Amino acid sequence: MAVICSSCSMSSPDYLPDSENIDVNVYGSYISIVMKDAEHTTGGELIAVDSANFIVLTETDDSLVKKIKIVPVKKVDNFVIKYAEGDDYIAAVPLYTLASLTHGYYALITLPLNLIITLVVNSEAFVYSDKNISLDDLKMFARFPQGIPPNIRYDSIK
Amino acid sequence: MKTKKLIFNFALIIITFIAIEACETYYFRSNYKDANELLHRRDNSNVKPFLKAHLKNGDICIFRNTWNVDTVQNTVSGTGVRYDFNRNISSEGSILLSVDSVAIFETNKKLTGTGTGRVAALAILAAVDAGIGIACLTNPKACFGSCPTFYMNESDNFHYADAEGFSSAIAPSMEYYDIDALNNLPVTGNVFSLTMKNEALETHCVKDVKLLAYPRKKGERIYHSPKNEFYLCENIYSVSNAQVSDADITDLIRGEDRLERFSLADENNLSSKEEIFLNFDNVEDLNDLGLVIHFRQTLMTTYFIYSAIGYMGDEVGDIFAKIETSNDTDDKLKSGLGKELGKIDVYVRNEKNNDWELTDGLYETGPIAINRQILPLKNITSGSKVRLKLVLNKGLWRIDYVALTNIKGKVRPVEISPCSVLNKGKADNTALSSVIDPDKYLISMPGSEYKFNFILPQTGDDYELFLYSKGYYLEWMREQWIKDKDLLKLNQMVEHPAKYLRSEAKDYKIYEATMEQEFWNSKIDTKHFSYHEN
Repeated sequence: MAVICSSCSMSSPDYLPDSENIDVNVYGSYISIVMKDAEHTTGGELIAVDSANFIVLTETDDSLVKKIKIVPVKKVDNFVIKYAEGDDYIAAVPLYTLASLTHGYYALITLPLNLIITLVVNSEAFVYSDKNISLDDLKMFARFPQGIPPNIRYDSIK
Repeated sequence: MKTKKLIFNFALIIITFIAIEACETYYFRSNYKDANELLHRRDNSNVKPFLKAHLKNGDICIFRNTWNVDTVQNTVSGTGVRYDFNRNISSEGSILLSVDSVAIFETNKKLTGTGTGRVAALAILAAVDAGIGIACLTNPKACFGSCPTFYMNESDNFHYADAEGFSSAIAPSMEYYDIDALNNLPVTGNVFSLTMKNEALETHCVKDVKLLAYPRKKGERIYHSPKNEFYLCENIYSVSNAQVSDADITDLIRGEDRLERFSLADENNLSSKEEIFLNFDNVEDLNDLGLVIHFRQTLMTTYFIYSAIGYMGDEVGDIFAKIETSNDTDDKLKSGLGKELGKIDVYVRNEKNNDWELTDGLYETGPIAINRQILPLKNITSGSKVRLKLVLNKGLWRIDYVALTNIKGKVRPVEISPCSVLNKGKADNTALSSVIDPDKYLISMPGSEYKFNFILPQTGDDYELFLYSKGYYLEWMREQWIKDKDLLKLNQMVEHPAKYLRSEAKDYKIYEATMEQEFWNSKIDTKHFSYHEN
């Protein structure tokens, strides 16, 4: 349940395209990285990736200032990328949960089932994780699949 | 189990459906390091995909489906948009690029129909939810419970409730106290806990919760009688033979196994009676015998309570106000429907007089927890055989167990008030003071759970335990009941119960045939609560 909830809570930033517009998107995918120390997570646009580092354009708390963060691959425990915005079924979660209230005793069964199923429906859409994509293939989902060109300063990337 | 299985299977189908959908990998994106690779490896489909050219300087060009690669000039041309490295548009229209300026080409297949599986899964789930919802709204009596339920094991569900408190108290004026045998295992330690749950759409107003305890030695049991007396007993004589009409029901009522004997209601008259004949062939000591009986009701009385509220329709508030201010409500209920339905009357065979003599009756409202009571018998004639007859309303009672025992004497258990109350695992002193203070009520709302802790008098002793609960509950009016408003029928139910029970028989039979069976089929009957078997 926690896994489902965490993937549901993955934010969907503005730069993610609808699934219909995936071929004209010019940005990298959204990546959420969990570090091995389990205390830190990093999220933002995947700018580039190679065998040594993830380069992520993170958003700070005020969500206006973006900053490049270099995350060493060896310190990463796992990652998830979202490459498109799916249809939003989040309203189904409370709606179906409320429906269980009409089930009387059977709500003991239907309430958790409704919760699990609607959360699953809302998770996993247009998502890859370290379990099903290699670092080499992950490059295709970066803003610069070829790596950051040498003429570009990291702090100039927005 | 049937309903549970059905819901589980539906859920399994939906989850599988979503899992397949979620696990589907969209191989929609391809990267090519040079133009030759792009031309040779790209699908030869008629529809040319949009082309992204990631330039070595960080810019990107997106060509619409009109792009061309000139292998002689080593260029890519077409119409599209060029963006800088921060993805601002730098030019639009015709674009001509040198292949050498391109770091990587990218093509993407269109993603279509990716949400179909999810929509289908939600649609199936909605259909299942609606189906269960309609079934419950049509026959709410089968899906919604009544009164507070008590559990020795807090993780148990209502199928394993150890007691249900004050089931008949559906208004403040009907408040009463209820005593239920907990049939507890030998006690270890001096702290005993009971969890009270509100598992229905009701407000429970609990005035008092106490534990009644009496020490027992090996081979002894203490039983509670319908007159709220307690008897210390020893020896158990199992029933040798039990008959209803021509049917042998001995196996059903010989053991404390939750395999219950019950009958269906008479299709013409809901107050029709039936007789169960019990033979005890090997009673070694005929002195001071008592009949131990484990029983509970079917959903028949729940049906009547919900029907009555339904008949009140939108006047339920006014009628309940009248009930509260009227002095004869209790009398009317006892002399009306209650009298027509009757108790489980126990008769003893007097061989000398060759007739049946009424001893007394047992009655407890509620279909959830099994009641375990004793009825002291009188006028047992000599010999080692005892013959009893139970007369009871058809379709109203479920009997799990009958046996005879010898009464050693009347005893008085000690009353123990809770020492602490836990609400969601945390001490709740307000709840504790509410149940201890005789002028206060603990208000329990749907979904609430309170764990009461009691300290037993003496560590190391074993105790027979009983629950004492006092209060009333308020049934939540449900929108679907308002359409059932029928004040004439309500009047008939209260003033002319015999006529009502005849006229309601057909409607009840429809309900009984579906929801009664469905509800109790979901019972999981593998768990044993018997003191003796553990």
